[in-house]
Amino acid sequence: MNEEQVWELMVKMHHHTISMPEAEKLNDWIQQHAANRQLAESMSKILRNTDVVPETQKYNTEKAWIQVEKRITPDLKTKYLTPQVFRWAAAAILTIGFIGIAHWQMNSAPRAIELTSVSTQARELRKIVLPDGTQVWMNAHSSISYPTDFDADSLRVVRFTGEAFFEVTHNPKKPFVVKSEDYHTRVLGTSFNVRLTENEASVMVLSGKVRFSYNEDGMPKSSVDIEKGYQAVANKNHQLVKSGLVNMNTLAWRTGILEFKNETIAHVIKDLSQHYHVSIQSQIDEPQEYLFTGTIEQVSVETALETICYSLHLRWKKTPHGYLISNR
Amino acid sequence: MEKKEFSAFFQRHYAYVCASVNLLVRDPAVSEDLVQEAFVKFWETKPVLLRDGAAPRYVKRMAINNALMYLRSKKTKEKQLIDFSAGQSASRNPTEEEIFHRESQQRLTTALQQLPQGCREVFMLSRYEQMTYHEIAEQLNISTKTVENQIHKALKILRESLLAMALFYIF
Repeated sequence: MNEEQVWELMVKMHHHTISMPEAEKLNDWIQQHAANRQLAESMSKILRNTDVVPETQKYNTEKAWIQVEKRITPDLKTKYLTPQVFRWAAAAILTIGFIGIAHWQMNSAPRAIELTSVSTQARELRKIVLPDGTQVWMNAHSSISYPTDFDADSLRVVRFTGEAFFEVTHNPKKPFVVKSEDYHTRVLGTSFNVRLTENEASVMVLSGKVRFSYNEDGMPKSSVDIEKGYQAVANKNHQLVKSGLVNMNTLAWRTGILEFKNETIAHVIKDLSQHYHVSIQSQIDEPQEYLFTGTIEQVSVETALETICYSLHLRWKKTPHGYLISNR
Repeated sequence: MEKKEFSAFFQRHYAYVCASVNLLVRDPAVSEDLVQEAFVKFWETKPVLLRDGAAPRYVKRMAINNALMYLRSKKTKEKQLIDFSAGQSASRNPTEEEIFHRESQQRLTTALQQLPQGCREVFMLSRYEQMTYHEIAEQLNISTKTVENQIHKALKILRESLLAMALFYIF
């Protein structure tokens, strides 16, 4: 970076309009050499010592407003003669002004944005609708926060931890991003399930396409694109693994539907206990012989057990810890 | 925007925009004219693309543009020095550090005012209006390289001024 580039960044920093990547770039440069640090310090001194307190007191606003009001009110008796210099300048100003807007939108200081936060407790399921119509079904122990309107930004960003199913309103001009501390899920319009807890980070896509990324300090370090039917999981080392086998039953908390096609009883028990949050033990000789096909929809755990056991000629009973399935 | 809203908008930002423009123009009466012109144009065109909070900066930019046009067409020479307020209350006894600070401010702002006109304009647009070199080049109808050179020149002069101060205070 040359001196002039550094100066531009220092000015931005002074006015608090510097972006994260720019701030990082500046910091990196400063760390590189003692000479760089000295240069930055001298620039900082220059900035500090040229801070002026705007002398607003010498301007009479009320008087000025009277003048301006005369000009903007349509029923003027005398036409205001615009000085020559401004007539041709007007078009130029407008052009420059409009070109400048996009630039300011990137540079303007962050303004306070109103956020809405919703959290669910244990065993609580909740559905909410975001300002753009996106529907979010939140599982227990989940928390989301989002701005009161998405218009302010070029992205629709929500912060989230826990587990939720999103059905995102399609808007190709404004990607939807679900952010937890380290993981971002970016979509255009789609439905997907995301699990972002301390121990787990995963996304499963029901329809559409999402980009799931692992981020450090806000910068994506690795990412994977997932489509319908696929799932991405992050392991302990933040490595992203994409898998094709998606067990739709993990969405049963949201859909209320458990579907099985020739699944082993062990698999069925696992899904059941996860969905109903109960412990289901099994005492079955040769469990691999028992394959279940069927749909369990919006019923109690006991009705589910009854259905399954009835079709497989198994027995179930309630225990102090939960349930037990056996073949005797 | 309704007239009532516009009136409130005007009342809120007018003096500040005048003060900013005056840094460049250094003639309060002219500054007021230029700023009023900007507000009137803003009312007439009522730009709709603006985000919340962008309107004041937009008007300020329009006023600054007016100021630059004015300076170009008038080709004004250096006038009397601006009275930069140090922003400290004079009532209590200033500490040595504050004296030093005020002196630094004074010296630097003096150095700033004494920069050659073109160099000063470029530097001020960068420092106070946070314009990029590209924007400044477009505004003043010069190349970005020229802008960068002027910044380089300004920084050099201002740094020397800082150095002179430091030496002075070390004895």
